[in-house]
Amino acid sequence: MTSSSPRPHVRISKAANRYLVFDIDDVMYLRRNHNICSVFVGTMPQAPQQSAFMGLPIELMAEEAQVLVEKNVAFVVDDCNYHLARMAAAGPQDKQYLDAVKAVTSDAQRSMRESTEARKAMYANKGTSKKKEKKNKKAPDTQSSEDVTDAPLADAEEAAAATSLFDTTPEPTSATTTKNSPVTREAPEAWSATLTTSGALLTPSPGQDEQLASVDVPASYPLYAHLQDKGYFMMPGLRFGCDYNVYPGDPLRFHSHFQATGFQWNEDIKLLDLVTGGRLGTNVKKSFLIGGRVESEEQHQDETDTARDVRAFSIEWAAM
Amino acid sequence: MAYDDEDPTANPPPAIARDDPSKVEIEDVEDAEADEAVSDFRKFASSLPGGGVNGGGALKNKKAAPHVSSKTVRRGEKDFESHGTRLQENALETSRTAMHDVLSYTRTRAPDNYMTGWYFPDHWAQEAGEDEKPEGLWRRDRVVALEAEKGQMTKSMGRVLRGAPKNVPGWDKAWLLPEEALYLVERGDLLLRWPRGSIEDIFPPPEEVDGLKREVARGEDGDYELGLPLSLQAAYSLFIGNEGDRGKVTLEKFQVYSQLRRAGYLVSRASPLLDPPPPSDTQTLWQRLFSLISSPKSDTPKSHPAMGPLVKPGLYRSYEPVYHSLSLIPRHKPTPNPNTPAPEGPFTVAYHVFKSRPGFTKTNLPLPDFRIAVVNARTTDVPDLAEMEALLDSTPWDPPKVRSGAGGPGIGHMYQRLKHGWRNVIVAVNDNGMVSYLEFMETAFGEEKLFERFDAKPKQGGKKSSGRNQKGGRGGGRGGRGGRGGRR
Amino acid sequence: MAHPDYLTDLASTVFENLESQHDWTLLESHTHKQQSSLTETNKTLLPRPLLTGLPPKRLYLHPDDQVELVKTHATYTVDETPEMEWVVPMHLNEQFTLKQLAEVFDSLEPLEPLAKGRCKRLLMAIVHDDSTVVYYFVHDGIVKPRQN
Repeated sequence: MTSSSPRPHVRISKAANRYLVFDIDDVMYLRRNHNICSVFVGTMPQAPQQSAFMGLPIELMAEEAQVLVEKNVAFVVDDCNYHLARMAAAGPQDKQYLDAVKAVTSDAQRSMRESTEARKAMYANKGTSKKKEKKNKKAPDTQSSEDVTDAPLADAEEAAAATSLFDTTPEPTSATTTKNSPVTREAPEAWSATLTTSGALLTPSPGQDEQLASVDVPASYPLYAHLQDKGYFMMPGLRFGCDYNVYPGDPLRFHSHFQATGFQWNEDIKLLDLVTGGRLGTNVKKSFLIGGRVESEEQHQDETDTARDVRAFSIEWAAM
Repeated sequence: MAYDDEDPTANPPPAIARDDPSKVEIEDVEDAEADEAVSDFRKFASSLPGGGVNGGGALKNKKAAPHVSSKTVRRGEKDFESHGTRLQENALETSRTAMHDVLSYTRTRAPDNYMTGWYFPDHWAQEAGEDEKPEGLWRRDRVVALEAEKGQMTKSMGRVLRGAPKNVPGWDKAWLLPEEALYLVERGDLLLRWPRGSIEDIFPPPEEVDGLKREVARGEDGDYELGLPLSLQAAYSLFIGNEGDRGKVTLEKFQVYSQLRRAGYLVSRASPLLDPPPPSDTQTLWQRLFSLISSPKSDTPKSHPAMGPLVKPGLYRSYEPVYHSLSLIPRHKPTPNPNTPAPEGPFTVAYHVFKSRPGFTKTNLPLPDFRIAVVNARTTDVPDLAEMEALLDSTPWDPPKVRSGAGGPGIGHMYQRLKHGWRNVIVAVNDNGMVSYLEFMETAFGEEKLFERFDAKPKQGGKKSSGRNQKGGRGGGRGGRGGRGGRR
Repeated sequence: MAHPDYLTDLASTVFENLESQHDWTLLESHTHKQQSSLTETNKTLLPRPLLTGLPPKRLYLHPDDQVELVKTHATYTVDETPEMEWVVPMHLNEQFTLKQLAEVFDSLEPLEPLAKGRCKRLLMAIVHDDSTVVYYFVHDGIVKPRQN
């Protein structure tokens, strides 16, 4: 499964103490090779009126970012500063980036043209009228039978269809369009393209000498690193009142096994918390997992290997 | 067995909306995310025309958008653990491939099917100076100017800042808040651009507008010379910031904002200026006279002697004085005009939320249906009483519509009143992108005087009071259950 | 060396609860480590008093064994044979640390031979003021939940 060729480091965008990954190849790589799936937090442009399926970026927990940095497969950049600086620099990368944008727009244009022509050809062959075709189809599909070049109105309608889901009173968009814009900036002639990542604009990546952003991990980090090391997938624990929801494999396929909460070795744990966690876990067919880093008096702790020296206990209701 | 009921709070009353059918959306989402954190992309992909995969670009995007909702795609079956079987591996691989394909999509839109917005982070900060005009429009935080408003989205997003002098470039443009701009970029509705020059280059003052000047601005790269079209990643880096950063929004707030928008709610940044003034404290002359005549029913407990019986021996013709002398502990009484200091920190109303309705206009906002504070699960503790009081008291006085006592339908509607509360607010708790919604309300059990029914005289044949006593009996017997009213 | 009285009393409360309410047999209190080579006075005091006993029916079945059971349907009755369990009595108002939990585990020997990859377990008996006792399994490691 794992490819042996060296792979570029995963770029983690740090924005106001949150950690984001935008590159889908990076996301899939983390999922396949480092049992990190994280939470998709972006609106999916193909289906923007639902939250069951979410899109890029993914938001990493600070623990995940730290583990990846320790494994030397990722680097963290403070993008609020770095990104701004690169855009302001207006360097030679701009052209490369723009070329990527143009490639996407012309691709989109071409595929639109091709599909329109294919449709036209289909009509010509069948000899069916557009109107009949329209009858058989649902409303939002109809516009695409128009030629792109002479169908600004159809596009406007389409825009309305695409954006009117939350508003039950669709209104012709022409009413609002440029209503209060006396300035005659002409309507954009080009297709729009919003790339997911800034790609070339952010190259070259900050080198080793440059200050990379630090990661602030919570006190439960040793338990996280321990479970990560053992191949578990972790998700935020909010829904189960714990630090981590722990999966034995990719959450795409598997139910979670544990709700895990990290403690310091000498931190007082209320017995009531143990009962609460244990009982809740049993109700949702999970074990309540508690653990933390062993602190022994004699041996000096090796700060770099957090995953080791962690001891964990699993708690289940005994049903008696 | 499917673990479909893994959400521990089995059938909780939906937090987001008390009487709104659309609340189901959010509840569904929470269920889906409870354990099935990532839903089955195989089914999702196949629900999108053409598999939802890139290549068709905008065409597919536009076709797909209206059809897909969370309800049309069911979650896939999941296993307890790996069996090491090929079947299982194949299923996982198919899911991952579908996920990869669906998420490789690049946002493209045909001409006239998107809006263009320009990023001018300091424009209104410079123009408006320090003072926020009393309209509560967050003008200094508006950092993206739309070339033109298009589509349904702008019905609730972006504002033209009326009152700005007409010689200020962009005075007639709709300006977006960072969360609005980022949400529109995510949807694909907004092409965000980073201007190379000043705002005058993009929005020239009226007198300079002539076709000629515009042409000069375009070189061989055409429109691109004016400014870079930005990526989603760039948009996040521009708009996401720490609490209090001007022109930015925290990620936890943005995620709540966009989730509510996806669920169909209209959302505006909260401003105390948008709230109605508290009800007047002054009583009418008649009310005052009346209160002098009628015996004042004191809600504060009487002072009792240190020794002796609470209820002194004597002749009592009704239960009321007996119960009054039994009440030892002061009870909370909601007031329309509390002197609570304004909330500080995370427990502050961040967004006003409106149900979608016809005739909604952003320039004349109705009273919000919900008020939402957003907190970060990792950095915020459970609120203490002072924080919760300050948060609740910052929301408008909203007592139960059904009155208690002699003037209202009485004890039978006690639960209705307790559930409604006197003020209410929703707290959205965000744990690294996962959000839970909790509703808090101010409740006053002391306002429900259960003993009043003991003195009620059954009116024979009286239409008005028929059934009142039966209901009262039920209410009294189960009074203890109201204790959960504080949180849902 | 002996345990404080409240721990001893707690242990006897749980002892009686197991015996009378849950029909356990072969109940025994333990105050010192089981070190057969040492005399009574030289034995090490346990971190806190523990109990051992035999429940009327098997209390715990590892999920892997559960799966096995389903596969080989015939042996079903055999695996219902009860197993001896360690019990640690605690009071709801007590607090504990990971360190203390680790010390308890380190002080006890498994009552049945441990299969490969399995770890020690004990029953935590949590007593409340009204003498209600609730029982939770604690495993000395990462043990996946039972499937019901």
